Amino acid sequence: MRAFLGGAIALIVTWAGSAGGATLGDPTTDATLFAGLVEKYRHGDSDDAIRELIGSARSLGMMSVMRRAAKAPAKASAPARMALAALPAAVMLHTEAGLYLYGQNDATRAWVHWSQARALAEVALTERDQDEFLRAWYPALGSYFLGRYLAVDAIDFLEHGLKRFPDEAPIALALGEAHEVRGTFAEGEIMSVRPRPLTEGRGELLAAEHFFRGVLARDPSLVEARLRRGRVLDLLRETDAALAELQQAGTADSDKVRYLAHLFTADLRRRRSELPAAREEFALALEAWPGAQAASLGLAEALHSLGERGEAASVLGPAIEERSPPARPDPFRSYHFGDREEQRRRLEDVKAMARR
Amino acid sequence: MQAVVLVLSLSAVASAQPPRARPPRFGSRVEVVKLSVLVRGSEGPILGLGPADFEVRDNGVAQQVERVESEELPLSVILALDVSGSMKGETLVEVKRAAHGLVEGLHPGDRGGLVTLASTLSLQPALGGDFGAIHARIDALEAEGGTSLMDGAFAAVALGDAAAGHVLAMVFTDGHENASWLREDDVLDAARRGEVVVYGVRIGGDGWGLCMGDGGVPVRDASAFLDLVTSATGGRLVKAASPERLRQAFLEILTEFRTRYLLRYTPRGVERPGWHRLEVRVKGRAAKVTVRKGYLRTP
Repeated sequence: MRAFLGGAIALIVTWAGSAGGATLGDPTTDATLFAGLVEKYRHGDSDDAIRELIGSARSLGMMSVMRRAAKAPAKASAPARMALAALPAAVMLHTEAGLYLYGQNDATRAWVHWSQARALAEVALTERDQDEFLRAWYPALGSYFLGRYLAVDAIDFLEHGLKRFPDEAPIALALGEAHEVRGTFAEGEIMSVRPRPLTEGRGELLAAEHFFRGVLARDPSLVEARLRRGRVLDLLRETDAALAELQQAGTADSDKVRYLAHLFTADLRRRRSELPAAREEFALALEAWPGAQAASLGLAEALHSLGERGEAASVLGPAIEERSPPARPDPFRSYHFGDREEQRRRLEDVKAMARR
Repeated sequence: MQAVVLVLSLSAVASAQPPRARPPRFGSRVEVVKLSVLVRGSEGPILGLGPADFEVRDNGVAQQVERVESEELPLSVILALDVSGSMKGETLVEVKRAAHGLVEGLHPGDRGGLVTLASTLSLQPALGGDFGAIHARIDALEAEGGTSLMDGAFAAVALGDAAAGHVLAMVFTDGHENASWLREDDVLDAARRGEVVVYGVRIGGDGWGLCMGDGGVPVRDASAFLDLVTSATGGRLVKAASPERLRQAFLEILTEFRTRYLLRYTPRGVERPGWHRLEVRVKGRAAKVTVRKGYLRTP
């Protein structure tokens, strides 16, 4: 998708180069239009504002004039300065326009808006309250990209965020996750969501480990970073270090982290043909998250391997039997690409900040 | 190819040991090997054979076939259907038609169960004799999510292992895999250990290349896996050229499975743990015997 981003920027630059022509509209008018949309987004019907921005024939004109204004606020027109004064809303307006278009399978136009949002954010947001918005905006949108399997774009985007906020743990954690996904899925050997022996993905996993280690150095209590570092170390075949991290993560308060820590420990043990130990860890995972399918499948498979086939079926059957209400979703299912509901909620939180 | 079944004789063990809080560990088990065998001649399946007609070698050692059952034997059929997002539209319609046809082909005394595989597995109904419940479930199927083919194949094998009688697992997919927890090698080992015959039905193109599935998530063609798991258990993979051919493929498998024999013998003269290479022949006549290549026993 990087091609989309490059294409989007090229499109804006091309347009901007000719924007002074009479046929393309007046920059002040464009700035006025955009300022109006930002105000509507902040205080009125945000969906209307998004639709108007997308549908306007002046959309690219608005983007061009605002990019220029963001780079040189002192030289900007009054309406452009007004829009800049509410910049989180302007950034979020373009962000949401991109989300809408991406949902309509119009990735090219989505990236035009996302690149505009980033350009505005990086050039113009300098105030402390705007920093608060950005610290939330980068990881929220990065997670959204990852949830749409856009790991390369998530990395590109989050790297910009980390450059601006080098000590921001959520951004570094999200960046590590994106590298972890790249490393996990880099192989041409994908048969399941679990990785195969690594070659090409090694560099990405090393990068992920670097970011997780950095996060833990700043805040050792961040158990998700510890869990992910343990998993990545296992994938890198640094078994002892992996076990140490996973065991520590296995004592976390969070059911989800504890479940995944035991699940990954079990996976490590199973791969080493340590079947009784694997069985024990799968059982501990199920204590943390009863009924989870990944752990149930793992436990059933370990039992089957141990010759306890009747018990394997008695573990597996209830775990996959359809029930009402449905069981809590297995956290492993959202481990790599995130939980879409959580991603939506984070974007809503950022939107609320932008509309304050 | 074939199905090997380990039958655990529990009653003798249970009476000889004191009660325990945990399930019995079957330390002193008597194991009977069950082999599902397809015998074909130039005119089609050869029926009416008895124990004396078969020659079975387990790791090269001749075995005494104790019992042979065939057409009269009730079947336990576990149908594992891919209902991932890629199945939407005409394919799902035809899969439902094929599945209904299969269930209509079951006899009184047979048992059926349905596992659906998407991002997660779902078992409904469990193996039993309520065919109406299976039809109702088939009608309600919707296609969405990823494909956990490895997990689905394992579930069919593991649940089948706990079922009585002659067990058929039929796994249908459009050939992509992207959501399983279990690894291919572990599932293949389970199939080799188990007693279930796995038949596969696949629709779509061949190949091992990566492609982009629903929502851009990478998926991998799994034809080779299906080939391996079906041949490991004595079944086979049927490739349907179009959705309209699925019903025929499903019925072809059921019909073929009913012509299989179920042989039982108690292994003698061979070490228990490890891989047991099997050779099965029909004495005194030209016949093609399809049976699993062997079976695996843990120490």
